[in-house]
Amino acid sequence: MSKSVIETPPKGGFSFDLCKRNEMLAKKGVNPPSFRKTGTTIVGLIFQDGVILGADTRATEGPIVCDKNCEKIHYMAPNIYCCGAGTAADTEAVTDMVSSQLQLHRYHTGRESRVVTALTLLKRHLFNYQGYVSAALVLGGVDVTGPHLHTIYPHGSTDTLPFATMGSGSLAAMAVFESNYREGLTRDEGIKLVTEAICSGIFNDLGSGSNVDICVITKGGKEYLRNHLQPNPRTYTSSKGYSFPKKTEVLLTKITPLKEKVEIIEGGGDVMEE
Amino acid sequence: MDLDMNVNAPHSMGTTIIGVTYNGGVVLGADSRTSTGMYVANRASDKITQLTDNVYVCRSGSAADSQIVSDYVRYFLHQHTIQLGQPATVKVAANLIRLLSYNNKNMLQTGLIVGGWDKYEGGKIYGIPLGGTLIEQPFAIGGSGSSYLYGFFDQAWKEGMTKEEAEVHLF
Repeated sequence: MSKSVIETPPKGGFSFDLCKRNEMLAKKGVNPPSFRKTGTTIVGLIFQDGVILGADTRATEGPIVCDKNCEKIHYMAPNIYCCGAGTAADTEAVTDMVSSQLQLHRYHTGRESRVVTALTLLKRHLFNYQGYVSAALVLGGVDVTGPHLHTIYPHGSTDTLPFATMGSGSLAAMAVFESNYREGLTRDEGIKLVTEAICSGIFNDLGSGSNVDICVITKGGKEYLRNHLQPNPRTYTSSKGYSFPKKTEVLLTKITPLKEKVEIIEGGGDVMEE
Repeated sequence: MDLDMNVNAPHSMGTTIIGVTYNGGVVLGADSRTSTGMYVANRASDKITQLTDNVYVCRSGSAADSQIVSDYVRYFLHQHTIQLGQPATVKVAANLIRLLSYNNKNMLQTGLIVGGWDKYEGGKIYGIPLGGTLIEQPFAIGGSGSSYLYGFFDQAWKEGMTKEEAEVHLF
């Protein structure tokens, strides 16, 4: 019954024919080059006077760690930040695009941006691209209506939650939140719980690793704690540093005077006439 | 690896949604689980969405699709309410959803149940299943969990229940 329904061509929207073709080619064994993905743990929670966002700092390209200290908490507006998981290029592009739209909207209205505005702009874009823009986001911020926390999935669906996790380490982090979250956490308790959740992702999920980034947003302002915790410092570098006492050795010296290469003509040539 | 694939799968709601009319209005019911494959992505989701003061909708199927449809219909209904100067009827709301569901049936994987009250027809329930047809029903059930409920509702539902009786059925 539903077969004939699928046959009719769509009326509007984008064409995803090439995406279908690529899927078919991949199935036949023609693999496209891989993207830089952020196999990630990102989290967020609401505490007594605002929102805390957290992220790990590992970026991967297949099985290889390609950045050990990347930034996954993106700026959206002065009072709104957004954690991104999925394809690094997509999360970066989509958050940059929406943050510029929000800035223009602020110039136009002269008011502080609201979290729902950012949410709607993001979900519209992601829905339009039917999941092919692979950005999984945790959006948090404080506006005139209070603190807000949302999760946004690549297909454009959204959830509103008091605590949220995303990315490949989301299960490990959610286990921490589910056992220790409560309403009305203080700032320090909140930061501690977020750090614990991210560490759970760093140590139990292979896609996540390195350091903990944290962003605390309150009514008064925000505090971006880059590398709040560094549980994986480099242990194999020499504390004395490296020096190279033996200078570069000179093996051969040969000087060719310039005169030998140049022919000098004296009094030669005709005088220019007018 | 398998688990990873499932977490990346589109978000959809293995859902049970119900709408029941009684002698003074309607009662809507839904569970609160949203899942991606095997993982419960949200254990406290709100699948009963407000469209206007007097019309609500129960969503099932793809979370993204049902959210976008209800967002559009809410926007249209607010405009309609302002132009009309009085609350929109349940029938108008149901018809708008039907229009979107039918016209974009290729793109959408969502079934909805609209319920509400208006001064012309009282409490009304409309079901809009996958293809985008509109069915006015005394009670409607939907979502993947609904297959368990057909027998129960056939036996339990009767004309002119009280609010309390209707609410008891939902549990």
